[in-house]
Amino acid sequence: MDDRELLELLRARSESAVSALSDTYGAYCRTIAFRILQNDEDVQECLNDVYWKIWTVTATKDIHDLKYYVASVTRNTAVDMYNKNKAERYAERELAVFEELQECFGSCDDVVALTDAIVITDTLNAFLATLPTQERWVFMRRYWNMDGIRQIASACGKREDAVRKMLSRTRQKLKIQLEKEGIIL
Amino acid sequence: MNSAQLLRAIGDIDPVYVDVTPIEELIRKKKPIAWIKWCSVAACLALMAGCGWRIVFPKDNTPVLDDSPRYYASHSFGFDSPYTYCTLAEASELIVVADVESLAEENVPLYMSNIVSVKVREVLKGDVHNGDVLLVEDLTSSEYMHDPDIPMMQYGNRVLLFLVKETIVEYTLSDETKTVYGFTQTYPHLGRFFLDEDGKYHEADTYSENFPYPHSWRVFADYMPRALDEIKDLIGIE
Repeated sequence: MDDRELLELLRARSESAVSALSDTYGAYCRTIAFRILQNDEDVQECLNDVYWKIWTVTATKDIHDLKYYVASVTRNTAVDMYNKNKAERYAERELAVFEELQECFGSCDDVVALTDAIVITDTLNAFLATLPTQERWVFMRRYWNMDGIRQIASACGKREDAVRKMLSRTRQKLKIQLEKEGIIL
Repeated sequence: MNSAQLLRAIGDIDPVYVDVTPIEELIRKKKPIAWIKWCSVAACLALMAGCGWRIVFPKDNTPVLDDSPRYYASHSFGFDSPYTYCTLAEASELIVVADVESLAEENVPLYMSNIVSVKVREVLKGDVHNGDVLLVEDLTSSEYMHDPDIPMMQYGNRVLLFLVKETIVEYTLSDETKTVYGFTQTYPHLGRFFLDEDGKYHEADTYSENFPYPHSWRVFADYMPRALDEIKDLIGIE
């Protein structure tokens, strides 16, 4: 079933919409969620939330790119679940991307600047606009898609070390940008 | 703010920066490169067969040995079947002697490259054509060649294959040059830079449909002239 038909089903509040959504994007969503949650039970719970959110939102919101929307909702729902349950369920296996992003905060993580989420997102958008295209692509594959470094290296024809170095440089630049904007102190 | 919040904030970034194509698909799209590499190997084998034919049935039945230097070349495709180049008359000798160490003992210069055809064995001078193989000594550095890949670069709209002497020489290239050089090695057949009559590099309007990252090339458009100058300086090209 293509996206147009799927969106029509969702907008029509058809009972078959969720199963069609699951048939079309279930495996894709599962991959995204599992990368973050790494637990079948949590993934299933996450997917239920995702389908519910998409079902609810499509009634009122005009969605142009369903694949992006589904990926985005899944990614953000899984990250929210991870953050919410981090202390009690994921303490033993922190995501590697967390550790990497921790670099942006150095030793001053406990000195928190309270900043509106919209401001942070705006800052990130402005920051990404300044990056060379490939550097931005690698950064986003790592921290949006949460792809493995080996996979990213393979996809862009670089060595893993080169990708690690590129990411490290980008994180340093991001740290400077966040400090400049007063988002971290 | 902490890393968890930052990770979450990244999720709300402008969709124009997001590529939702599953990474596995992007990796699969690179398959044609492997396919082309194998084709190169097949072409090399065909050339070897041609050499073999000429050896078995020489034109005048008399081997013509000359004083040209002999070269040993091994491909970098991960299987153990080195092939050799030399003057055609000497091919039999080198094809039989495919062992690197024994060649080294005989002071035969060692070269490492994957060679589709040998047409030019001169340092880049004068008119060169697409697919020409150029003998460039000492271009290699340990950094490049410990993981040998296709020593190839775009020069204008021509793809040049460098027959690179395998010596360890430390050169200091800028990161940009390394990036361009590395990238053109990886996607030599997909390169879309060309040199116009004014001597400026441009991108072509179209890309191969096999090429998943046309945007990546745009990044290199600015680097290319500088990187090429640096490489040309390095190998002493006017």
